[in-house]
Amino acid sequence: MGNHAETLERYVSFAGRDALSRYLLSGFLAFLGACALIGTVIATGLKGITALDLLLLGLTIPAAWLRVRLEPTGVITLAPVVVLVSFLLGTTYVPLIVATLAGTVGTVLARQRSIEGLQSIGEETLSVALSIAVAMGVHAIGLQHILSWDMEFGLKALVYIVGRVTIAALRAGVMEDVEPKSFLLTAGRSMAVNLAFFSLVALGLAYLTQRLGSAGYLTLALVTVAMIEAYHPYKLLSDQREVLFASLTMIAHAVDLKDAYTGKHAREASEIAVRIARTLRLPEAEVRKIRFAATLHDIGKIGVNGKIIRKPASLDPGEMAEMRRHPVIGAGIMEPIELLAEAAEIVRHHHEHYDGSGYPDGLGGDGIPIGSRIVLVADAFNAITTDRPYRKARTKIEALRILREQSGKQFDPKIVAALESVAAVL
Amino acid sequence: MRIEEGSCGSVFSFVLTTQRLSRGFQIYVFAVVLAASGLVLLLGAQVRWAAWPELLMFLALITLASMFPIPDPRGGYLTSTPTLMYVLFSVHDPGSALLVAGSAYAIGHAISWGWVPWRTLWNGAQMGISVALASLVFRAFGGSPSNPGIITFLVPFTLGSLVHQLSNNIFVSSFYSRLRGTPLIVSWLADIRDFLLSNLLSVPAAALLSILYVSVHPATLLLYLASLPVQRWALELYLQHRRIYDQAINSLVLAIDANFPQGAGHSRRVADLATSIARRMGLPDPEVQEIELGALLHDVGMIGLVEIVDSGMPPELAAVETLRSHVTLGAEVAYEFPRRGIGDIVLCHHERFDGTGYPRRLKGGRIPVGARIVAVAEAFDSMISGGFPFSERVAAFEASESVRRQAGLAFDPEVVKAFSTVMESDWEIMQKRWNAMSVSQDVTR
Repeated sequence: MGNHAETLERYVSFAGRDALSRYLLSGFLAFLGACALIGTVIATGLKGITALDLLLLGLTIPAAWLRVRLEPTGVITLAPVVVLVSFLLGTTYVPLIVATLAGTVGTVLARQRSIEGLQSIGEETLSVALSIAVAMGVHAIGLQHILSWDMEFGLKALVYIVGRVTIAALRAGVMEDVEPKSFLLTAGRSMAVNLAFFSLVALGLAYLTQRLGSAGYLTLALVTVAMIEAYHPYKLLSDQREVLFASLTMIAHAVDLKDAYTGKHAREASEIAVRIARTLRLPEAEVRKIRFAATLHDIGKIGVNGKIIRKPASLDPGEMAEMRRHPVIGAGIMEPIELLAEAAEIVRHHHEHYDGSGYPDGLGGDGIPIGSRIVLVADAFNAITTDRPYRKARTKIEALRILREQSGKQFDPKIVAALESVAAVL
Repeated sequence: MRIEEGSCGSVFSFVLTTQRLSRGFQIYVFAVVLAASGLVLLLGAQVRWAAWPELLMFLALITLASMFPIPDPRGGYLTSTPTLMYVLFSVHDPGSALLVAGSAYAIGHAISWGWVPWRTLWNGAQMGISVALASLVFRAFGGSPSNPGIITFLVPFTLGSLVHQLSNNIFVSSFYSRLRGTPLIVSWLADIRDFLLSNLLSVPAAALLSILYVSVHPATLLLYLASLPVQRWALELYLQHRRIYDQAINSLVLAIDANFPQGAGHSRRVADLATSIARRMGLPDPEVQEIELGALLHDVGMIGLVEIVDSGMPPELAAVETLRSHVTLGAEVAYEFPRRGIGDIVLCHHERFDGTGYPRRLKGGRIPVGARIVAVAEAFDSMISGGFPFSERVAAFEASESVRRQAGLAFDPEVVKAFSTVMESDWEIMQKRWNAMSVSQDVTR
């Protein structure tokens, strides 16, 4: 009983902390987004817009269309190119308007809900606002004479880049449990590199427009289109990555149809496993393997007779032996396929127990691949908390209690502890 | 950055193996080379030999680019030579363009495909003529990269690139048609359709490079070349993902078909028929793709259903309820896919046009068009593969008659109309494909 109360206490405290920071961040970004939207409308109404501004806004739409999803999380679009160009060429508030438009286009393309849309507008505009504020600060304390125009642009671009990467890292940490450090080493780094490259492009464009006069505006349009063409392979890749993962989830779901319950077990188990892996601060490459393995962990059941899978009563030894082949069959299916082969080992061992009583190889302790230990816990947690033909779903708290009882026997204690810390947001 | 030599290459290897060329073909090759030589004599006087370092750079870059293929997302390989050709025709006079493009292209080809004199000459000649023509058109319309306005530069530039593409396509298609005996116009139109869009897409980058070349420095061209390996890497990874995706869908389709005694190939046949009908109805490409996937997966809910039927439930219940549940189960699976339309097709493919279907008794236009199409395709294929004692031809005729009788009742009359057209025009081709498929036991396209 004391055990239970302690679990409950942990659960509540984690629930409180995690959920609060989520609400705070998303609320803040959504608030900013709403402000940016209203501000854009007012600013355009008051100041009017020039032909150049109009061109910049026109280019924002295709630039924001090119969205590349990054691994593990985050998005790059080409809209920052237009934002950075408008730092140089547009009037003061144009970068903000461009960013607002970019966020809106992104929202429509990603079919987000309106609250999420406001958040992405907030994310787009916050760093623009920061760099405008810094530039204003420089002017206010009278330093603008020391800075040449390109140095001022460099400062703005630096603030913008740092701002964007920081917000993205914050968002990844709070929403997706991705450690800031591992985010900065993966998606954060490629964001920073690309944004720095965009700044150079913007600088080159400003130079060309100065040199060519009005003909430079044609160059502006050409650069935007040429960059879309150049980045298109990345968009194809990131879209295909998503579609591929969806098709694997679909297969896992289809195999689950052989079981007596339906639902989103494969997807949910994979989400839980990914959160656990990130809480344990595993490298992102390992997390990716675990994501594949957790999605496909029961794919070997395609080779097991459905009558055995569905049998509500306990299995006789022969049936049990057949049932226990599924991790091996699953690993065998995955091994010949590029990209999935690396996750096959995790699938093979996802029924090994921490005390060595599992199957197929009777591994124990740290001899079991970490991914398999995580998938076992995620699988069990999701199974307990969903309806089965022979019993109703239990609450998360009950599930955690059951897992804790088995901690050190069936499950690795470290992983059960990690699950407890993420259970609140599942 | 797109080009035609993916196809060219295969033609050449084919020619290499045949060796014996008809007299007409020899005359054709000779004429092309002769025309190019004539143009060289005509335009040679204008060549600015003083600009030899720039010409040499182009020579090196084009040779390099034609040896450096990039995977094409639509299949085959591309090179970035067109982009370089466009820059070349706009920044240099027609004579230099002809000489440089022709020799560089010939060298590049000789290196990648081996040295065969007539073939190498023909290749260089056709490319040289195309680039020279483009350059002439560019100049005739008053194009000048040092004054980059829309009228003074972009319009002539686009026209020049189109002329280059059209002329290149004519040369390559006539090559094809002579080799295979197909009518020139057919292969030419097919080629144009394939290359026009990608041609227009590479115009902005090329135009930009021309402007930079003239107003900044010729060496800016090297920057562009540096981006190619990175693009190639992304595209190769993309193709790997797509390959695995195709494998994944194929194995799922095999697993679905395993639930039907007569089912091998059923899902693929329904998908083929549904795609043809959708095309006939003039639906846009993305929707046709959605319908293809929806049709492939329409019976995904059948996985495990055999086991439900076997599981000792009361037979009346098992037969009706569980069999019907395959649409909802299947839709749940298909909704895992980011495009909702696919799940909608799976869910609604047993709805009837008059509103008496299941699971939701939708009526008429409320049923998604993809589901209406799949309903027809599935009914037809179930009939022809359902074991009629007649030969397949007769069965197909009777099946299509019975589909037509159901227009307005089970099926949408519009869809049935498109289905009839498909049966009249595409049926033979489809049957041949399916026969080939059942031999290789492969459901891939």
